[in-house]
Amino acid sequence: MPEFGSFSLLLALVLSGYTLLAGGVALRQLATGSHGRMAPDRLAETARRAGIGSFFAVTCAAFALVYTAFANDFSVSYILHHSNRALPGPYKFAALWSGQEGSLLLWAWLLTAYGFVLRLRHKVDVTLTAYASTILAGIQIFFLLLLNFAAPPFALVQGQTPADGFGLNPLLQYPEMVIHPPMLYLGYVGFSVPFAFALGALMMRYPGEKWIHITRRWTMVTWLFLTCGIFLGAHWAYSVLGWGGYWGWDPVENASLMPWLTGTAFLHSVMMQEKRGMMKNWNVWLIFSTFLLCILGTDLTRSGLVSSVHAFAQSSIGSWFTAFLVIVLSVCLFTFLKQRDHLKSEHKLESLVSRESSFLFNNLVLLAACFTILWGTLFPIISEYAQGNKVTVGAPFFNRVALPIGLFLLFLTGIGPLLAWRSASFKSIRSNFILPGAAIVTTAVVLIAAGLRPWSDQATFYSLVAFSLGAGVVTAISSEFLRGANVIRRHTGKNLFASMVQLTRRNTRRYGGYLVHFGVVVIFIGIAGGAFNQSHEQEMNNGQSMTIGPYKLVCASFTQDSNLNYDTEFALLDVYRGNKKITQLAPEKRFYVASQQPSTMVANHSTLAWDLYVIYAGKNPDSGLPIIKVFLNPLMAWIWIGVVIVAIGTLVALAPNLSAALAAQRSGRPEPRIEHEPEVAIAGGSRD
Amino acid sequence: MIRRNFLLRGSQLALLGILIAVTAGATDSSARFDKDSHEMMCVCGCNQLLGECNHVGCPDSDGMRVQLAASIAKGESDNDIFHQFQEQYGPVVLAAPRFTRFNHLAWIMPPLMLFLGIAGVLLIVRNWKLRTVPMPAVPDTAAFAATRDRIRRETQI
Repeated sequence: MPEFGSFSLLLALVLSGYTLLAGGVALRQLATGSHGRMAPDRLAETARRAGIGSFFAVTCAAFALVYTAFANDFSVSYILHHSNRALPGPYKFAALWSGQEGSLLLWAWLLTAYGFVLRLRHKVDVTLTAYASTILAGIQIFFLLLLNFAAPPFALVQGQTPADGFGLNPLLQYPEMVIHPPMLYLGYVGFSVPFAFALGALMMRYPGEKWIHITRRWTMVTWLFLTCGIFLGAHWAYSVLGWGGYWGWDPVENASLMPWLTGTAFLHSVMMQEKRGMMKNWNVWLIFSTFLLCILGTDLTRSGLVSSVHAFAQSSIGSWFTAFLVIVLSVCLFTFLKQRDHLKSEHKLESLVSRESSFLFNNLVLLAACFTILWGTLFPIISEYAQGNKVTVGAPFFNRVALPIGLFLLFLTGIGPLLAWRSASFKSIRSNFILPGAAIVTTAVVLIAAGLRPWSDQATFYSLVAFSLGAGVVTAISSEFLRGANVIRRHTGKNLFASMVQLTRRNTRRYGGYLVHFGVVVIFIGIAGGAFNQSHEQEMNNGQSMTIGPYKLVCASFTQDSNLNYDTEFALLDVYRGNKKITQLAPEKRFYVASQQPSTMVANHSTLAWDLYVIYAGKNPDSGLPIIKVFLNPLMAWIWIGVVIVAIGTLVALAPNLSAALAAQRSGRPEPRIEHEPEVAIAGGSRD
Repeated sequence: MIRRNFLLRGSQLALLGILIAVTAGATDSSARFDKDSHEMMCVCGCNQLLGECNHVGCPDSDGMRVQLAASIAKGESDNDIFHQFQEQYGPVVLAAPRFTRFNHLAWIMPPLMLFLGIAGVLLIVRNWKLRTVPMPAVPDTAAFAATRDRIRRETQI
């Protein structure tokens, strides 16, 4: 099987090479009108088919690696280091992406899978897809070169094959780790597609904005995957690392956030190009930057330039990524300089108080956040270079600098959709802002009256701002929904909820966008709750109790157990609220046999108000009693609920409008592939 | 003039309020321990804040926390404590760059870039506005205004 996997990877490299070369030659011939022995369109077709073939070849390689893991073939070095016989089945499957070589194989597989879909749907626009397919083939070649020569996943163990493997990193033996990396990679890799379309459209001087319509769904789906991947990672950190938090501003986390920020900026500013033919240069560079940041983030963490808790990601392949980054940047710059006259704006901004300018500021703030994170991530390297010693740039820096930027962004989330395109009159601003403004002030006053003291510390101040702005944004979104739904209700006689559903179906993009914004507010509220975290640590004997917030924890027992995979120590804690027992929690400390590493299994009782988060911190060697650490984390569940709302909103925005779907149904054909919705925008449309 | 002075004084008061809200902090020793332990890193290589490092068998964090608690109990200032830890463990022990000559750059650059960006956008918009050709007037403005009024009436909550 390892030989089959290796051969598949080599075949995939050859097929990708052919796609690039034949595709490049065909497109050159099409552009210049010249002919070779084969007609350019036929040559391009062979390139497309080779690209499709590369997907099947990489699929075979991925299958071979998973099969090797399930067959416990420890002659393969990667399997030896990332699996063992006692490892449960799902984690053997997850071993595919738990190490360097496997994660690169996953990357390559997803890339060819995206390429497969793109090449199958080539009739959307044959020439533009041929350009995109050729560019994707170039990216495929880079990853397949890595897999064939720098980080081969099927490398064999020298000497005698060990009887058992070294096991999977205990931190990765958690259900979410089976889905978090693929989600994140679907996001990272997915940005290759809009990047390829943007670069292709620029290369061929594609007329109009159709390429944006073609790539809109790709970009949104990719953005959704990246969003889910980031938050699944945060949830994994919260549930597994056992420090009570979910985001540590680690370089690997930062690496995922940077392309998300530029991708979000692109999703907003691209509407300016669709509706007004503006910001073409900006949009092209946003999507270029998003792709480049995906590569840069990988480069930073895998080259070992910056230290990360994701130590398994470090290796010597960083130089390959640096070289690739330079090549991609050069190609982007060269193409942009050559074709920049094609990117002239059709309109100019007419007023500072308009939807366009709110997008500009939204982009500016998103990019400022991205720059802050990049700067903070790189500063240790810069400091070492400039003053000879490395400094740490950790959570306190990011919290102080990035949080105000985040709150400004929340503010823009609220006001952007209330402004009209081109220019908003003072009268409309006054009528649109009066309710949200009142909600902001009322919330602030009520919270202070309820006992929130923003002057006591910085975190409380920021949380008050977040709650108040959140109330303003929710009011703005609700009034938008109600306004539209009331009109439908008056005309159709339906109830308010049915009217709101119909309203959303009529303009999925706009109201899906509002749902996304609502989800963002919910996430911010959850984050703001962090200002009121409490924690308590105590040794507990049988029958002893501790109190935190409204909860009383009583130690029912503590014991130990073992199975083939790990030994475990755990405590059984009865949780009371008042006199009523509400649940029993069992925080654990595991010690994995194969890897000889410990791991924490957090016990969490989650409600809308707070999480009761309990850690078994170990045993006191003197007393033999377990040390229990308890956190009371307010509003934590809101973060995860917010992400679900964001995902639902994105799916709604991806759905076709009612009119488009009905038209497609009437004509008996599938939903149109390219749709142009002149009056829609993810952030809402204008009213006056 | 009076109105201008009133606005100036009002903005000064608002600024003072914000400064108090942002800088005011708790001063008791447990709050100081919590705050300071979140301003330093554990040096075992786990990349976690000292106050949050909890992994089993960490060779450093417990000792460092005891040292920090002792320093606070002795009444040492935050600056002295950070300086002492920095001497002992190197500059990487501090979770964020201190305000030394070069490290100022770390703090200044992000807001500077944001302000430069805002200034740039304002400049671009100003230039665009100056170059904008005025649109011809809509011929039937009365009918247009009536339609707009009707739409506003119908879409009122």
